[in-house]
Amino acid sequence: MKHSDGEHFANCYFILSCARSGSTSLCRILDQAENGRCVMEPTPNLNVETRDAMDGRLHDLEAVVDTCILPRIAQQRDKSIIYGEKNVTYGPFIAAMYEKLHCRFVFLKRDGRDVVRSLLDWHNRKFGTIYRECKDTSGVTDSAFASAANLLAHNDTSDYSRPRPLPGKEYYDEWESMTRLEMCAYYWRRVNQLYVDGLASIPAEAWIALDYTNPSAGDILRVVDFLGLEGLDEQKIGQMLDSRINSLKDRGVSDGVPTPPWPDWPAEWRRKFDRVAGGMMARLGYYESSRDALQNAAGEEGRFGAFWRAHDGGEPWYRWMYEHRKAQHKAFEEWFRCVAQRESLESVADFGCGAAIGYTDFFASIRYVGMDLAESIIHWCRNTYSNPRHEFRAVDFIRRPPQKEFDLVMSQGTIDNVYDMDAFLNAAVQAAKKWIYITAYRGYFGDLSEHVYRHNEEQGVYYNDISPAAAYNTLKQAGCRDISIHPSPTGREDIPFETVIIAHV
Amino acid sequence: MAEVVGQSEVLPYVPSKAPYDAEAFARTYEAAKAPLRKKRLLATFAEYGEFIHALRKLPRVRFVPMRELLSPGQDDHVRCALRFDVDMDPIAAVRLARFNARYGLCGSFYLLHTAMYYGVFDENGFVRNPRLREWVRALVLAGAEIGLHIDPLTVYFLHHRDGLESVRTELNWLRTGGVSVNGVAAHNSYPLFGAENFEIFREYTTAERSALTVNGVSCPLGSVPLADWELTYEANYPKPPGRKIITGWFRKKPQRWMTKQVSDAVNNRAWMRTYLLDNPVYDRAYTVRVWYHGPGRWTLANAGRFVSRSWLWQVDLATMLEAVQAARPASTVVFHLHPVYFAADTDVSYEL
Repeated sequence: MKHSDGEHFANCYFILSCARSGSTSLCRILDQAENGRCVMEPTPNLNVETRDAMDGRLHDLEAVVDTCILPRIAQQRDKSIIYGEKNVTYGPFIAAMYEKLHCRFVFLKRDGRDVVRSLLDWHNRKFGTIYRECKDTSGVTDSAFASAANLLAHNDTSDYSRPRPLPGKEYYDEWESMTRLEMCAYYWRRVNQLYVDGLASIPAEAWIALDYTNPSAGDILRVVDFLGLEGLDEQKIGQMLDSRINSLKDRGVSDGVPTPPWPDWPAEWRRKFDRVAGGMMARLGYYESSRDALQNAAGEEGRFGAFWRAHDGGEPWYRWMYEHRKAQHKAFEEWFRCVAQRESLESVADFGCGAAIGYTDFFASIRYVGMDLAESIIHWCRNTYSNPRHEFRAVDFIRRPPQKEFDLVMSQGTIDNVYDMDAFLNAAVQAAKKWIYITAYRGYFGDLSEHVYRHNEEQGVYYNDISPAAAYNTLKQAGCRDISIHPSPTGREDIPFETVIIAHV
Repeated sequence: MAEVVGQSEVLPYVPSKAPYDAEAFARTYEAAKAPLRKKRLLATFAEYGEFIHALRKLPRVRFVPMRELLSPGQDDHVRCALRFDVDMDPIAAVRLARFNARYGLCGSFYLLHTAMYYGVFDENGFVRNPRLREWVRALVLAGAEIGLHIDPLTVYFLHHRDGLESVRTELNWLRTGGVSVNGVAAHNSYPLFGAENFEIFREYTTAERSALTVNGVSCPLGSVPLADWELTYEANYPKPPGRKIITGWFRKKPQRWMTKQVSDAVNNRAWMRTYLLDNPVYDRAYTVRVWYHGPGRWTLANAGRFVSRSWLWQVDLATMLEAVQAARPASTVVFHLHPVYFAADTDVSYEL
């Protein structure tokens, strides 16, 4: 059924959330509406289908909507109510659901650290079945163990529904040794990624986001209005929020040691969480940017850049770097010549210019501004180069990017070493009037769905793997077009391809 | 009080409070694996992953634990069970169970109560390995089915203890804390003693005899109904043998298979064909038997009728899986796996 039938079902909505994010609470609150009904985890609950879709084992997503969801929506057709339901498994099906049902969504998000804490608590004290493969078997109460003993893996569709890394993908090889905290962080990240991606594919007016980290009655009334529900007021909602619906206490669990709230987590736990989920925390607005995660993880606020600031390799080191990646520089020059034949490119910013090897010559006839964190090398550039069209700035161009100042913003092999690659891309877009051209020297990681950050605490340097998909989303959201993110051959065995990112601003 | 059965004394089966020698376990664990490692029969943990990934790609396949293998259900699927006889490597068993958990697979793990890792006999009784509880707990939390790899005949004939009581006692011990144990898997014993371990159960006596006597020690056979010990199945799902066409070395002398030991029997083609396909002692109620011999070597015996009947000796994974896929709808397939064969990179120091 396409939209023509779907129009009949416009009065339906779905609550999207991770487990332990407040969806049961919200569902019960919305179910109090006089003109609506909100159903808790109706079956089929898509536990198996969502995992199979995530694993690439299920391709016909619309068929799942047709067979599993559409029949129960159709039953509500003649009841003149606004029908809602919640499951934590809709992630892969959002676009298909919208296409089939013309429905609305409430995207419920919650701070990942709170979600992970709650999942750990539910594992240890209630079910004993969250990421059953995890090595950590301590802390499970007798009642949780008995619960797990009564549920064999093949019948445990809840645990099956949780995402796991696929062979060859990020975290697959280390999954066996990851802690449950890391696995739960992975769950939170992956599922929210599905929601964010799914919602990006449908009209913005079809969904509303609600942060359930510390929800107020007013927040929920906003959702009530969005859905057209009636009969819910601030007092009623406030009372239900106060009752801590679906907490362990609400479920009668009192034994076992509670997992500490995240502000009390040891540094190692924070590091582990941020390593896996820091990027999504930033994306959902819980960190100012993923830089926060990494700096939290490193535990050394503001150390970024120390390596370059203190680096004393001087011009020879930068020249060696240039020669080592000469093919990439030549490829850039070729691209520049082609574009410059079609349109005027009169000003160029070079993010992370270092000693500007090669480029002062190449851009001899146009305005070229090299920017770098390392004051010493900028000082060297100023003393070495005398072209009046050229300028060198010692600046954190991510935090303080120029505003639409350059026809082209280019960067060679710098993004791999910064604290926030999305912020880097956004800064480049902000600074550019026409084009950005950015290379990542550490390789081409076509399989990554999210950037991978690694922080070398000793050096204060990040060694990142850039995700083409994530970079694409960032640039798309920044309004770029003609985005091309592709592997560029290096002719070397250690890193056969680098990543090249080109976009029209 | 010792009970006299037949001509020799059989001591009661009682727990001993003597300490378990953990160092001896560590030594034995590595020593037992050494010959397999030397013969390059040990695959890595990763090979198990490849097996599972390939198996999951097959259409029409549904995974069940051994206890549900013959339950009524969908007939359009090939029903597969992963049977793990934990003869010597409980650590690898836990690793494999956890891998299964990633994919919602419930393997059936049968712990061998006469194995060194499980416990040892001393003059006072049976000393359990204190780590056993940890392994059982890990298997349960991984969602695995737990069972006992029963070996009462060894308890009778080699340790001169009450083997029936050993099985009953260990079943109860495994069930501590709410662990459900519905099934047992008989450790192979016919070539050694002239009877299968499952013959202690009333449902599975294969000859009209009520006891087996070896070197003056007698073991009662057919005396215990499964239900008395709250069991619902024995993992071979044995049934009386049909008319057999025995081929090869054993064709003229099936007794030879039944009573004589063959060196490295599982790698003896004729012995294994007889064991899996033409077994003169008992038949299995499931259709397809797959046996893993070590890196890249799988044997498949499809005991289906007519054209579906087939025998593949030590073929590679892809060939084996093709045959599984070719099995008729409603076929039942058991993968006979021993964790140690996937333990090339698992050792006693592996942190659980």
